[in-house]
Amino acid sequence: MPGNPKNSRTIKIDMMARVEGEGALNVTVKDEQVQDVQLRIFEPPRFFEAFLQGRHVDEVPDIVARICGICPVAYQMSAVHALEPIFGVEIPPAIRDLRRLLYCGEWIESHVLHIYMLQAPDFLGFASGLDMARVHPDLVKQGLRLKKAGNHLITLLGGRSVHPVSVKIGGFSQVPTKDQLQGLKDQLLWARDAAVKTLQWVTGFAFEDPEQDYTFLSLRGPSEYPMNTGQLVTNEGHHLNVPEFEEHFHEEQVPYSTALHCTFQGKSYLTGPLARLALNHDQLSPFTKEIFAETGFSLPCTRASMGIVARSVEVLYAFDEALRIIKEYEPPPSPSVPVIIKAGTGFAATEAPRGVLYHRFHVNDDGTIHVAKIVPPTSQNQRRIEDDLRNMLPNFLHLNDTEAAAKCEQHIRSYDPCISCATHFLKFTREEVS
Amino acid sequence: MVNMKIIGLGNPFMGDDAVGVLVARQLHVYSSAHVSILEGGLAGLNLLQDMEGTDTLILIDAVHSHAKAGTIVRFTLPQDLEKIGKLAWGTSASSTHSFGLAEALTLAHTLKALPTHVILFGIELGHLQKGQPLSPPVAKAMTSVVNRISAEELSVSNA
Repeated sequence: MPGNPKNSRTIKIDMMARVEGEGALNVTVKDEQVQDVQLRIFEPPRFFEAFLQGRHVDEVPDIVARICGICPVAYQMSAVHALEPIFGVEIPPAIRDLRRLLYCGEWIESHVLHIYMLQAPDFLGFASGLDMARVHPDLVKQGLRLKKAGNHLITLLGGRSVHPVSVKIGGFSQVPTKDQLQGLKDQLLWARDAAVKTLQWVTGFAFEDPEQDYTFLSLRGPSEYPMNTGQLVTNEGHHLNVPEFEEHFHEEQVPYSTALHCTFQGKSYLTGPLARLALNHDQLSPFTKEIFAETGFSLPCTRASMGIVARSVEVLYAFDEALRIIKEYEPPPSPSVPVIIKAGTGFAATEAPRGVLYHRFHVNDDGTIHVAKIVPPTSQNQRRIEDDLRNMLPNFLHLNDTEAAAKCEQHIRSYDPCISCATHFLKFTREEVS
Repeated sequence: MVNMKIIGLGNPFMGDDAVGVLVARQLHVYSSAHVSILEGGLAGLNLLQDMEGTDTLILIDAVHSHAKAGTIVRFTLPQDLEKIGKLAWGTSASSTHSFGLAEALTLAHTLKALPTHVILFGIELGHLQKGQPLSPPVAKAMTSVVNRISAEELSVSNA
């Protein structure tokens, strides 16, 4: 391996495309052994938990939607599901279904973007989605049309496609008519077929990264694939109620990152599509199960690169579920139920596209927020990504810096980390210490 | 299908980056069955969806090219794609996936999804201070672009 006189070297990758947010990777190597791996996030802190203090609960869904341009629905869903039990609100089934439909739209938009524009280029040997579009325009068009179908669901239910505005405590400010939902049916039928093709396509990719010994975490409910409700479960047999989250999951500050690291009983774990699929595949719709079984792909997927398969299964499921909800939809008597504000503490976890999103709120008598706590999926997966890289890096040390860095980038990208709305620039540093 | 879509791009809370959106808001009076006026946010992939279903597309965005603040540039697509790609548009350097206006237009061109006539107005920005109004030269340029679009583009479309 070439080295400079100080026995250390720095490799820089300009514009690490296709990862969201601003981060860097520092790797320390001694005597050909990996000493340390640090995934640094230097995106400035966002302070949302502090912004929420003193704001009225009615404002919460609109404020938290601003945390992410890609998964605003997830933040809104965790917020209303945490707050409603404080006020004793019972959500009628039709509103429950509409919230599930809205979440389907977000899973579709977020997953399709990652499948087609961010991760597939890695498998097909393209530097970007744009390069892939030059060679495979029809594939990219299919991806964009799928994304658009998700976009239309969010626009119809949420009032607009980015940072939707209709979600409120107690329901929605407005709900669609039966005809409006039926109007989406043809588009969703096309999209479900295209989602089948997508799943068949991605299961044919070559998955070459090593298997990992994952602790999977996801929600699991009694009957349906998890979105808004359920217990926290793991593949190691844990069943925890959401209010117990903070007893078992600990966030800690690390000096090299502005994102907190979250661990489960002191260890890293994985949340997101791979975990959801491993722990809930029996709750997929019959149609999704049938198509997935035909691919011959076996579960659980324990390679990070197989996230693209899990996302494609969930996209197919989301379209199938959307069609079911639309078919059975009867508008609720009123878009929302009355809410009587009182003091209390509420908890919720919902399944954001990238995994478990936990919220806790303490509300004062006057309906203002006293304390807000938000644990997003990417901070939960950050430690797991580092552990993966620590396991994999020995295989990369014979490569030159550019190649080793590219392997690391691909691996990080396969997790779809959402560091959110900043430049994405992965500076890869390998330091050799004597 | 409308005849014309006018899309103002940018972040309305980031100083002069608001200029594209503000041009669109001023042109809202021309909104009709034939002319659709949109606020397009930070461009990106959604722009491909927004540009569907029209013959003529007019885009307005702030640009960063070390020219004098308020300088107006006008590009025609697809001829000027390469020139557009060399400039920094709005706050695109910090938008998600670094997929900004130039990338969206290039992708649309690659997928043969650009409308027949596409014009892009760029206004050189002066400052990007959060929550602050347009700088005077950019405010002046905004009025000038509004007048140009209404005189040169909308008069033809409404004729």
